[in-house]
Amino acid sequence: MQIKEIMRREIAGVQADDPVSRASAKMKAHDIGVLPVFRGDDMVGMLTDRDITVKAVAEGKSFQSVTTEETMIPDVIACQEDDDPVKAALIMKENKIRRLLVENNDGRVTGVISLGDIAHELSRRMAEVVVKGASES
Amino acid sequence: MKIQDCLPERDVYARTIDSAQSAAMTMEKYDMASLPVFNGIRAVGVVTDRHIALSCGKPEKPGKKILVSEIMHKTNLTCPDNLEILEVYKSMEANHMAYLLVSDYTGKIIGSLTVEDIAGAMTSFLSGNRKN
Repeated sequence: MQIKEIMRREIAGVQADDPVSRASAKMKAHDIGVLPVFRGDDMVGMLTDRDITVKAVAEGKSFQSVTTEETMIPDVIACQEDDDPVKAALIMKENKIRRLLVENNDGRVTGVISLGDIAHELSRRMAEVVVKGASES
Repeated sequence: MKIQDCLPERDVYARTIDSAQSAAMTMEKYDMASLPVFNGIRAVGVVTDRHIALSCGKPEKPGKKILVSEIMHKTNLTCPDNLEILEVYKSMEANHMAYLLVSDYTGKIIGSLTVEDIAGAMTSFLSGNRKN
């Protein structure tokens, strides 16, 4: 199985100077938890629902005035469309995030994936390991 | 691997009358993505960082004015912390559940879990087995 088989292909982006309230509304409208952040046409980072919670809400900031740039992860953390789901899960684990952007071979963002989206495949792999371990003991 | 192995913290919770900001501060302090929610001594639901984030689109209502009761997921479905995570995940998947309250052996609610918490634990299990 590859990421492209389970990723969400609906991508919404936000501009770096958009208010967090707009990002929140887009996440809700598209039922996703991560947005690529652009400055013009250049991707400059990514914003997750957790970023909004801990960097805006917890800080008591105004959702109408604090910008996505102030709350985003100033990096693009992504996996590839043809990656194995466990590899994507490990990228999330290493970066302590639960959502990823998905890129194609041209480096273009083509989707998003969450740890929850991968859970079924992780459970299948874990069951295989557990059964194998039990049969070998 | 048991449910108790995935719980980030025990006995950290929110109340229905708490603000979204207060719940967010608790999540940040303890690095948790979900909190069990109590109304008095009764557990009535789960609130996640996603619930809080999606409440920010509401016009002109700051985080300290949004109540946890307005945004939480209402549930009293509970699992004991000594169950195997695979067993719990399969049950959650079959019943289309994304959140669960977690109890100890006395039945006391000690935390909450999301599917993503379990997925994170499965990732740790699989990465540990990859090294072996």
